[in-house]
Amino acid sequence: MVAATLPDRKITMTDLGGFKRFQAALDAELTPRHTVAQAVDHYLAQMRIPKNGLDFMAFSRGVRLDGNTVLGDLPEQDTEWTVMPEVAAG
Amino acid sequence: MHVTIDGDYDVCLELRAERSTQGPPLVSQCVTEDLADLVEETHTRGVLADVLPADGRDLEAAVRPVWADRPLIRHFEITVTVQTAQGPRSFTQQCAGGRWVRRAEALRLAMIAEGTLAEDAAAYRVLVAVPRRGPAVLDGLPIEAPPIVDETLEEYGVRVLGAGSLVPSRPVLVNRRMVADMTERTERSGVTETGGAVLGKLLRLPEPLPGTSTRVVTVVAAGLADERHEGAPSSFRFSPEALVEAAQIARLRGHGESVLTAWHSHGWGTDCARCNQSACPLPTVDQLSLDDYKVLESLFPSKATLMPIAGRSPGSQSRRPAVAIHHWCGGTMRPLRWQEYDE
Repeated sequence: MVAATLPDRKITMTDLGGFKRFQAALDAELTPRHTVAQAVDHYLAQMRIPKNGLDFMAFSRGVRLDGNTVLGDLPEQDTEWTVMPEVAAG
Repeated sequence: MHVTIDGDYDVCLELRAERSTQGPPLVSQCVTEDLADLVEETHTRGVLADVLPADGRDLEAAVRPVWADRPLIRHFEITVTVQTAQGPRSFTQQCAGGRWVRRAEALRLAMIAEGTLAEDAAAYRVLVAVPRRGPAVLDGLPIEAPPIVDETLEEYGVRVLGAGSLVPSRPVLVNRRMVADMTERTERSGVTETGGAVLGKLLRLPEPLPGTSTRVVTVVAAGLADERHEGAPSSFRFSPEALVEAAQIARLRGHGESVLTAWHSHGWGTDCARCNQSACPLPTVDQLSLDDYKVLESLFPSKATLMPIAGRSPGSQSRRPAVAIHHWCGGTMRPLRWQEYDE
């Protein structure tokens, strides 16, 4: 269901440590039609975080968001995301 | 941030089969964008050293190639300047490394894998300045100072300082219990790597600690193990779910901490107990792999990030694993002196 306040909604994305914070309104670079995965890619590009061939994911309220979900379908509470990759040290 | 490159150059990475720069390179890539890391690191180090204000505006950076034999670049000198009410403040550092070093190693390994380079063949890395043709790729760089909290060590629960010493411009305090836990886990896990999330925060003290020149102190407070992380020989895979839970635990602890970083081991020989004395195929605590740098670039992208590694340290008199803590310094992670504390 698309919330009535969608144009005013903002999504804040940060890295795990909370050092790289980026906020986007759903009326410009990102829209309710974009997916979670596209929003994550947008965050990485804006913050110049290299993908390094890794799978990135977003978590909100402790739960991993499905990358295929369009932003307009997300619950209104899911506005604070933590973005991180699945990665291994050597 | 407005970034200028002295001479308005682009920077190309070349891999060459010989030391000479005559003839075509094995591979050539534009790596100007890699300088963004160095600008960000210079700004972060300036803030942590208390030279640049954390809330500064009108940031400018100047990148100056230092020539080996023009147009070959030996290293870069980066200066970040911030305007304040009292006038401009600047921080400068020399950077001999950068993302291109890892790029070059990855390219070399790829060429060996595809058979275009023999396994024992040399591949020399060269940085070349060329006149810029395209748009300036570094302008508009998003630069943010790391979050630093005004608080005393006592308020945070640091009771007494212990063994170790501090670097004047980057003092780091590490909970003694965490060091003991890392050592014990590394020993117990043997060649299988182990690790976990690390909680802590950056404090701005009223005064610098004795022997230091900055009020900003990094406190590494606690390590969180989680069965969802997966260790193997030469690899430690961090579970995103476990890391998110660690962030929730950080919030629940109520000290304003965050997941500052993650630690991992580089293995430990359970049979010989002479890891610190003998030649051994296990990497040392000072040898960061390309995968370690991926963790730093993609999981903990702040240049304030520390990377604690436990394992063998040739030359150490101890029969137990050592713990090294690395920080960004000139485009490369380098070991840093630190001091233990008790809570």
